[in-house]
Amino acid sequence: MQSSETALTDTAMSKRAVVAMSGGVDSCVAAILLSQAGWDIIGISMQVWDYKRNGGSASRATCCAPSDFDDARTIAESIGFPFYVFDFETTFKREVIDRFVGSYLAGETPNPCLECNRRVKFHELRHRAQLLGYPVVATGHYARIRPKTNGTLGLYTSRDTAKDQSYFLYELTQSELSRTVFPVGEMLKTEAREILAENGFAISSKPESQDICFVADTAGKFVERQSGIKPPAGKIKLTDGSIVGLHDGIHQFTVGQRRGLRVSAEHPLYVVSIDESQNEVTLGQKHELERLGFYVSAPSWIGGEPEQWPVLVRAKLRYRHEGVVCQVAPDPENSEYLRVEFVDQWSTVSPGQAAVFYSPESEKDGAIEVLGGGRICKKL
Amino acid sequence: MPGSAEVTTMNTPNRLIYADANASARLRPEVATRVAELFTSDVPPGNPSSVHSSGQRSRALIRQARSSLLRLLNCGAVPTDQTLVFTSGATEGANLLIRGFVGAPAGSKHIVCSSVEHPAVLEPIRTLAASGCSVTHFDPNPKGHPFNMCGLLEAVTPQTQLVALMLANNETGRVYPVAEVCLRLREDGYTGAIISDATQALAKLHFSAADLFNAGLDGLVVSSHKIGGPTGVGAVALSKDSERCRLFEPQILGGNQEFGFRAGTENVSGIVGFGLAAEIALTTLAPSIESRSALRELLWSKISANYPKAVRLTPQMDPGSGVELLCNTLLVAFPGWRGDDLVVALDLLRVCCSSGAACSSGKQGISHVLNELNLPEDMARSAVRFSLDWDATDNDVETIVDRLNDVLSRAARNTSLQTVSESHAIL
Repeated sequence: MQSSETALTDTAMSKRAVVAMSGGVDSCVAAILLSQAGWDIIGISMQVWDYKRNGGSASRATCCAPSDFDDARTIAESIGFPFYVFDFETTFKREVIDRFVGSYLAGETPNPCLECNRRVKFHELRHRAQLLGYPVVATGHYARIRPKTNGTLGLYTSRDTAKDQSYFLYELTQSELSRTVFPVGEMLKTEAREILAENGFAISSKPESQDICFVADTAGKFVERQSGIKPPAGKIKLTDGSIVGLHDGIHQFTVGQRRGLRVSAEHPLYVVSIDESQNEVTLGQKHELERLGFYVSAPSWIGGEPEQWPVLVRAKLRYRHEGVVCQVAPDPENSEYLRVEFVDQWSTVSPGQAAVFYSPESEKDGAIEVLGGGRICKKL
Repeated sequence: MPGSAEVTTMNTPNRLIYADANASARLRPEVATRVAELFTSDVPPGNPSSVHSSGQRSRALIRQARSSLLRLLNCGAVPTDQTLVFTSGATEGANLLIRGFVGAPAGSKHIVCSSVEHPAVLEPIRTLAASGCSVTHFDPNPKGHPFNMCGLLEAVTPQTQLVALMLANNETGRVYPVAEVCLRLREDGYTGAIISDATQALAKLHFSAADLFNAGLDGLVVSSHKIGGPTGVGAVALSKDSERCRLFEPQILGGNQEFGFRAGTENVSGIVGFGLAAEIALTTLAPSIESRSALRELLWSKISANYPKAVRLTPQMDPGSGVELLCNTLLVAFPGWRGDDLVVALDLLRVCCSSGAACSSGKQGISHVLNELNLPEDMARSAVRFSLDWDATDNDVETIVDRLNDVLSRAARNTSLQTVSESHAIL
């Protein structure tokens, strides 16, 4: 447990934390580790979604079914820290669900986990926990926070590279990082499971899915149900302008998508662009997805804005993306945007996703620093 | 740790203050002793239906408890025209009254009930609605005005089979003029059943079941654990003389226990506990109601002095308007806060209270009662209920206010980077 002691024994940080507990292995282990390290913790499960009211199947859900919280509650009772279920439904609906639906209807492919982490977990939860007298937020995220030689805090990938979730955390500020702890960031998932077993706990098995926690069927159907809007059918075109079919709603497509197009052709076809104003989807061959780069809005830099441009980064364009080397600089036409150019090879770009910038080099122990990121926008 | 058992005195720091009696009152120590005696007795109480002396002993214990509860319900008298039926609690009791009087199938029957009833009343009525009954909910105090007698009378039709109005509300503490309602309904020629949920009123309000039955009520329901008895037992009181009671349909069938109204071997130890709690409540009734009423007002005056933005949601005492209140209940809105956060913050400081009725899912939301108050959503969400228990003291009120102050002043303090010693000082 040596490496995780760094964060847990940092004496500058108040040792009172609220642990966001989903009932899954990682957040339960986070609570166990903090408690064993002598922290004063309370566990809070966030009720963000009511399956009974909103449809979808609770048994196939990955979160927020009553039994999920039972696991967290059992651990709290055994170890002896207070546990509460907090109602976050209103905030979640406003900040996550509504944005998600709006983004899809605008022809984008949002990743709601980004909003949830930023606005619900690391903002509202922190605010409410502070009022309870608990300034630090701890979660079961796989990521690491380390002090840097220049006095700032850095966010790094986790030791378990397959589980790394630093992608979702790129918007954390210095102030937030100073009051956040990721107890499982230095361990492998297998080690986390062992800790659970060593302490005599068994978590009821549930699907560990990468899919969106509140969508039980498909994103497209969810959007229709939530918005009450059946997005209209429209044309599917090729890049040469010829019409090759009809789609039944642009919200069902993602740039770079290959499957489910229902258009036959000699060569494999991909969604090249989605035009919300014309309600059209354009298909092309793979090489037609190629581009020089893209633009990013709402940029944030964890260590503060770079002093020199351009910055060379490894950019992840979606959560499960190995990353691609890019050069980043402010958009000369509008300083609120960043212009990101591919260096050696290009990658498919889906507006609505986040582009997260990692350092091109790793630390000695393999940790890679998250420099910052922004939202991929449609601007070409 | 909150809730851990320990010996505490008035002056013990971090003494647990229990201010959630409307959810459940603390078990009276005499009741705990008595019930334990029963379990460890050499001659354990047997099945009250048995012929042998062990069974007869149980029968006698139940008879005694029944008489104790009737006395509490009737200001010390034991009426001969009331049937008291023990149940597993008020929820069962409410279900029994509703289904017992409406009968099955629901058909073209009509039910009138207030919109602020407890879910144990609203839910069985809703189920009857789903199978064909029509239901009218009336708002007893629209826009906070005095009781909406006209609204109630207008809602009643020749098809109305049941009218349900609680005697006192668990969240606001407001008392409803049930006797007057019964009189007016009967005067108007209403021949259906009238029932009242008296769960919160028992031992917290001066009332007489006899008066209510004489005015035309047919049945009421009460609960043991609201008055310091054990959980798992309640009772329903029915008016023997009422025509409706002759047609009452028992819901749990099997044996002939409880005068044929509720089958099943009686919960002897629970009933004995309930009976004893009722006896104690009767002997302490007047001073308990008086002292808790004073404490309720003291709590309000201190809260509003420390936090002028606090809004009192429990009606003001106003002898002129005839508004009556439960002696122990104070519902307060704390604008700028979430009620559920305050409840948790207070729990961490060892004060037990709630924001609206205890919710079985463990999560808290805005109750239907608060919705009826027509408050802005933020204010409804900021409500906290303090319901003082039978042993509440001045010291409890002072402590609640002090700890509440600790919490409320946190928002004003910079809590970003507390040192370990500073954060421990809060507790």
